[in-house]
Amino acid sequence: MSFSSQTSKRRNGVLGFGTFNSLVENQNDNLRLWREEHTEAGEHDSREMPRAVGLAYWNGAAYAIRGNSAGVSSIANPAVGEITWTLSGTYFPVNDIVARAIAMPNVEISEPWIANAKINSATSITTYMSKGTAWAAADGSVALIMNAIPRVAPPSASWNVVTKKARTPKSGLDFSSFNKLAKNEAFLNNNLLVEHTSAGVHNAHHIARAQGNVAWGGASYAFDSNPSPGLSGLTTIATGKVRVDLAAATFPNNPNPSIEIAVMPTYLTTPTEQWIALCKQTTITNTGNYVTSFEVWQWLKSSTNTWTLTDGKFSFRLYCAAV
Amino acid sequence: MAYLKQWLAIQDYYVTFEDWNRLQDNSLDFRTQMDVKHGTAPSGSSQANYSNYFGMHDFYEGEKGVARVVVNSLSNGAPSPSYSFRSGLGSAVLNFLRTGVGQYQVSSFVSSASTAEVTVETTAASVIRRAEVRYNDGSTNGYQFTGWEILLLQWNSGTSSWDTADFTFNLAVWDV
Repeated sequence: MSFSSQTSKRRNGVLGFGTFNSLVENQNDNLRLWREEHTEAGEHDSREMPRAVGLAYWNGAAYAIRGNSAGVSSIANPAVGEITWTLSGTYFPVNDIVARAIAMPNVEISEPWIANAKINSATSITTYMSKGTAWAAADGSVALIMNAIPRVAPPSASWNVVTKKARTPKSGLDFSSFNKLAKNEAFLNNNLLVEHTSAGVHNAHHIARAQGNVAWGGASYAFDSNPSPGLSGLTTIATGKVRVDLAAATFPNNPNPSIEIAVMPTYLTTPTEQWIALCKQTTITNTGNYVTSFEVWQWLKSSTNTWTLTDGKFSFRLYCAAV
Repeated sequence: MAYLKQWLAIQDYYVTFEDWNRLQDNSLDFRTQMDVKHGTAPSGSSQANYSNYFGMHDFYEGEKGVARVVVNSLSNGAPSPSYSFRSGLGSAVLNFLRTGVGQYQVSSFVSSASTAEVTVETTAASVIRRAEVRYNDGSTNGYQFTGWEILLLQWNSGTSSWDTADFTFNLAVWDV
């Protein structure tokens, strides 16, 4: 089964059973592609893309869920720096989750923060956040990015929407067959639009809208290779602080975005040189209903266990609401 | 009048060429949208030749591979990393090699254009952990290795230092 492009028929063209069979096969092939890594409800369903991205937003006194709360049913804050995330059972049907806890503090900070995740079960994760050189527990916003195995089985090679194949000129060209094909086209298109724009671009909170690989050249920052559309520039703020500027009216800010930072130093000869980077929640700027920029702060640990703002290579992912 | 009834019946039964053309255009449009974030056709191929097209996601903003690496103990007590997820696309399999306490190498599915992130799992509030990942282009440190080097660290509050340690961690890789 493969896709075969066809020419448009002319008024006196032949709409024979060969045409019908080709359209059936094309549709089945499109459906096969669609079912690879999507559910039949139109949601993405792949190990490699997050199933849900939640943000526990700290307002200075309490946490509230922001982000893709569809996968998170509730959160609790039983102790300083500790958040218990109760997950929706239908989102994570098995206890096989990859959870990435990302510190995004929205209080004033002078030292790095880190977050850890503990997977309790398929419906429960605990995150812990700590700060500074003594790594005391602390409250601040935390993003939780969760990958899991697909919820549906891979498509079967024998799966067909339209099983009827025309054998004689009239048998495939009746309105019943046409209606079935047309209905399937509508099904596919509606499903595509659940988590994609009409241009085919991903449009869901749990799939990163922008990704950047940022190199430090010794004097300035630059996007390393193939940055996502919507990244307009980099501005050095101070040593260890760089602002990522975004295109106008591209990345919605409601609910608050989650921004994942990963430091990426080239090989260093000694493992005693350690790096931490994060996006501080309060550095995110907005214009109207869209995110305009955010800052990335990086620290390097000295041999005396103190952390100093330092420039270096990093990558980031920006998760935000659908447009 | 009888002739007209027969003619109407035929028109109801058969589909017009405009209908077929519209359906074909829909199919092509759908295929075009799938092209946007689902990989590309093999170089030089046309839309009529997609034999290598598997429909898997291939876009810069999404992970190419995600692995949860569980560190178990062998019968002799030595840690042995094993990962519980498939990884990447096609045959791009992540190979892990433990080179020391809390130190691992990933020697496949790596390029200078790719990025990686290692995040950690913990067991309790008092067990504070983090990880680092670095790209080795094979030209440094006197040995031939190209790939990710991973360092797992656990906070030792008694000595106020980060000690290398073995524990479960997660690796995510992005590429163009």
